[in-house]
Amino acid sequence: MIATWFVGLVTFVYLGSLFAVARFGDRRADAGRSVMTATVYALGIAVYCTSWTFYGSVGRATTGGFSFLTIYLGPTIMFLFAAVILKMIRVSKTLRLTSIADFIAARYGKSQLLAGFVTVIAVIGIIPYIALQLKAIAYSLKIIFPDDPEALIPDALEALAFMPDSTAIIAIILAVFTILFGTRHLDVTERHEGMVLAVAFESVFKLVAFMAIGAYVVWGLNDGFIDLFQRAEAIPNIAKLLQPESINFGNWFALTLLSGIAILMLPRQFQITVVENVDETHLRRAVWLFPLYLLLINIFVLPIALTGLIQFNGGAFEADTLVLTMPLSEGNALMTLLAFLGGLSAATGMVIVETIALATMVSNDLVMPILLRGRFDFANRKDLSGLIMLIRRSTIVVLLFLGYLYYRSAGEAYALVSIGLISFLAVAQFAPAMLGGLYWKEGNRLGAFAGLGFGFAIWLYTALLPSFAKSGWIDSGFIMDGPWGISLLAAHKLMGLDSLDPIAHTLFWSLLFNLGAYIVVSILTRQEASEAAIASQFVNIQKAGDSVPRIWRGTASAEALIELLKRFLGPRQAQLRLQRYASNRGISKITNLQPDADFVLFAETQLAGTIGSASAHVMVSSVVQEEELGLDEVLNILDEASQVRAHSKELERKSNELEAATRDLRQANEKLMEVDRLKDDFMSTVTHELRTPLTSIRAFSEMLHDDPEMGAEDRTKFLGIIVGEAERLTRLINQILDFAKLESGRVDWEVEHLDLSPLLRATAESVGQLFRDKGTVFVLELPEDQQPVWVDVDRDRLKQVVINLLSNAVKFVPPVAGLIRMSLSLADGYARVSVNDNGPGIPEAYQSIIFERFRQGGNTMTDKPQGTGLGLPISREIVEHFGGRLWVESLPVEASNQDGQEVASGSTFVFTLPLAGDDVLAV
Amino acid sequence: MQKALQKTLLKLGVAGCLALIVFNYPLLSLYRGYLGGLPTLYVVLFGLWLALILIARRLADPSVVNSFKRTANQDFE
Repeated sequence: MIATWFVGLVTFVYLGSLFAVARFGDRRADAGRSVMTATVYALGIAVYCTSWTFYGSVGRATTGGFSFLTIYLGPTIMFLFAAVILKMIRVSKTLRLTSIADFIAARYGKSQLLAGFVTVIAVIGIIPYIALQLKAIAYSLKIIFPDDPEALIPDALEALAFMPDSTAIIAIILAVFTILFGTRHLDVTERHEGMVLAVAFESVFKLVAFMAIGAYVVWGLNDGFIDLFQRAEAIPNIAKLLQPESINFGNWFALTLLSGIAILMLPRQFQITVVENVDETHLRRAVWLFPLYLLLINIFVLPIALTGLIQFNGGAFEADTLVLTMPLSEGNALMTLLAFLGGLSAATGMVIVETIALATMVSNDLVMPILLRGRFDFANRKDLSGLIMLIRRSTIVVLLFLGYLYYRSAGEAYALVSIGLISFLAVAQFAPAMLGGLYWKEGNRLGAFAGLGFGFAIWLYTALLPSFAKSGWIDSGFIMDGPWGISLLAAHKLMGLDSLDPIAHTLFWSLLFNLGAYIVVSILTRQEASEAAIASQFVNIQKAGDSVPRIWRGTASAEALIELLKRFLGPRQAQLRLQRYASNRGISKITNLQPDADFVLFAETQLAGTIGSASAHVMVSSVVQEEELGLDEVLNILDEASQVRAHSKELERKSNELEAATRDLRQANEKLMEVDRLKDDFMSTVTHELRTPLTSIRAFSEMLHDDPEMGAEDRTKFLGIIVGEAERLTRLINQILDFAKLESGRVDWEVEHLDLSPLLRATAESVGQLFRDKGTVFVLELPEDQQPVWVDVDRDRLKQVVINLLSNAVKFVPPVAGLIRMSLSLADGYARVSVNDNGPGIPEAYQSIIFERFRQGGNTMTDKPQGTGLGLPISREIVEHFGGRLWVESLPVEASNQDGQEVASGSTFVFTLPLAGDDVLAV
Repeated sequence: MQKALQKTLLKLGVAGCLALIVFNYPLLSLYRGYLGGLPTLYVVLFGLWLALILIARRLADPSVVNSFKRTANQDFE
């Protein structure tokens, strides 16, 4: 259907484009323009979706319905626990950790043995997984070219005796790619931007390819989703897959948990998520973009599976390759090619990153410790950087070769088909040591060994060996009947537990024993001093950050440390880093560096990025003489450090409090300045008010004094003016004194039980002359029923309030047709007195100001004062003293001018007073 | 700043705990039958999944949420 040469061309163009993308990424990074954006980072994490997702999900859906989704829901949920991932990133960055083995080893005292053990588990668990990817590639080629799976190899070359098959050629290309872009730097912690960009590119490609095939199946082979599901519903065997009854919820939970753990523990995921992270904030994008990717790549899985089941209903078909066989059987060349390339990209992405991650672990934690033992004179070479690089590159080749070998040996065996979840189970054994190490200081090396040992043994016995047995490589009797017929030890029914499927069964028992052993042994055994220090650093990384205590004591030589760095990092790189370290400490020459604890730990951390933390510790220990620190000593230092941190926090808190106090003081000062200005205004007003009558008194007195001949009529008139002005002066002074008394609380209140109506009437009469002088009409409205309105108040004080309101009203009513209306009413247990005038009203902006002390309506800087500005504040104080309220309701003239006619509703001052005793009940 | 980050991480963690409940038994066992011609379980699973993603985006990556309000030629990376 598709020309062989064309498939070959497209395959090599695709692989070539990977090289181009990676090269582009590296060149941009070298030029200082990083391509590692948050989106690239999130897409890089999608390396999680391998050919197992691309082909295998559809296969799982044909038998398990929705159960395939657990593999993607787990990571989605785990990414919401971003705090854990962030902590892993921070620890790794601080200590320059290079792999999951390095991470676990560093936490438990930089143990080489532990690092090696973790590496062995990872290699045993992951090599078959790499083989699975190679198998997927081989299988897809076999489907496209059933008659000639080696069609990619030109016939002329096929005849050569040493010519490998097509899968091997692709594996070789991947090895070249991995070596070129995955080992550019000796220091693993330096990012592989080109490689990550290529993986992100592959993620986009496989997503687009899978969705295109999904759309083709749904709308090309069916008439949309509804049509497809209706057809599925009509076939009982298929319809039941779509209902919750088809789900075994115990397995569902187990697989969700397993995949959630795997997303953190798989070496390739650790490589991309933690080691290749260049900016913590990128995690913010990954938290939702990666789950969105998973959702999109899964949305068409069930429709493709159902279409396959409907098409081949009753007949035999290969469910795992439906993505490829369906468009092929329909004769759609474009979709077939897209499916092939999508599967290829899913497989290659995984192989590249997983190989880099495993190669780092193997070279740093297996090969390097052996070489550093001394038998190979390795440690005494002048410059080891080239050799280390060679080891890492050779490891990549060896790992890929092992993967290829496993694929060739296993062939169609069960061991290969089931390896996806079995690999997940293998790496899940790292979880207790890894997560426990991040959150539990007491977790120790022996605990980690015990946990990993138990977990690995159970995994081996209940998962890996049964997969070998099912492949026919070993006897399968132990799986269901147990070894030597001991049924309690049956590999899939340990202790008689037979309600779980094999994967959930292994997960349960391995994690139970792993976690249990880790906790119990950690509690029963004592942590070493060096472990305690590093444990504290891991657990407190969020609080302490880089400011961790330097726990090291001994003697060292700066020259020896510098020489060590040069040997492992290469002279140029070592010089560069030492220079940077020295200049950060204000030292110009690296030969002047002091061999203190800081420098020793700096050297160890730099080496850790290249040869792993455990080997780095061994190497540094070989050139320094470290004094053994007791656990108590270390704990004391840590205590001191945490006290310093606590003090620092306390200082920060106090500094914040001081800042807040300063802010409050500044505000208070501003308020004081305002009050001061008001006081000045008040003084100026009062002075003015006092001076006016005094000037008048003095002028008329002088006239009377200077002119003894003055007529009796003039004399009487002048004396009248003098008396009037003296009264005004007295009133003013009284008011000021009154206010001062109210302010200081020295008023003697003479409270009496009185009826408000007569009081209001009498008060109005007392100021009647004011109304008559200005020709103002005054109306008093009292309750119609003539019933007394009893209140408990000080009669004189209340009269003062009423007089003040009435005299204010008189001031502002117009000279012609002035009207003042005072009314008394009852409401809600209160007596309500309102004084309304038909003056110009009070703008809203001044309605609250006029009740402030020394404040008056209008601009006090320009307008002539109308009084002391104390009348209303005094009135409010009095009313409020008796439990009432005083306020103003006013609609100024300007506001009521909407129809072009002036409607002056004036102001209404209202005060309320609580009714006394019986009146409350009456109301 | 650190406090704001802690708060975001806490909210995400709470969302994760809720997701564990929502995507497991017994809630998932309730979605039987069909909804608008589609299996209810299919609609609910992907619907809840999408809702969870939108919540995570709002909590963790406000720059993207806000980007819709900004001009198209701005780079948020």
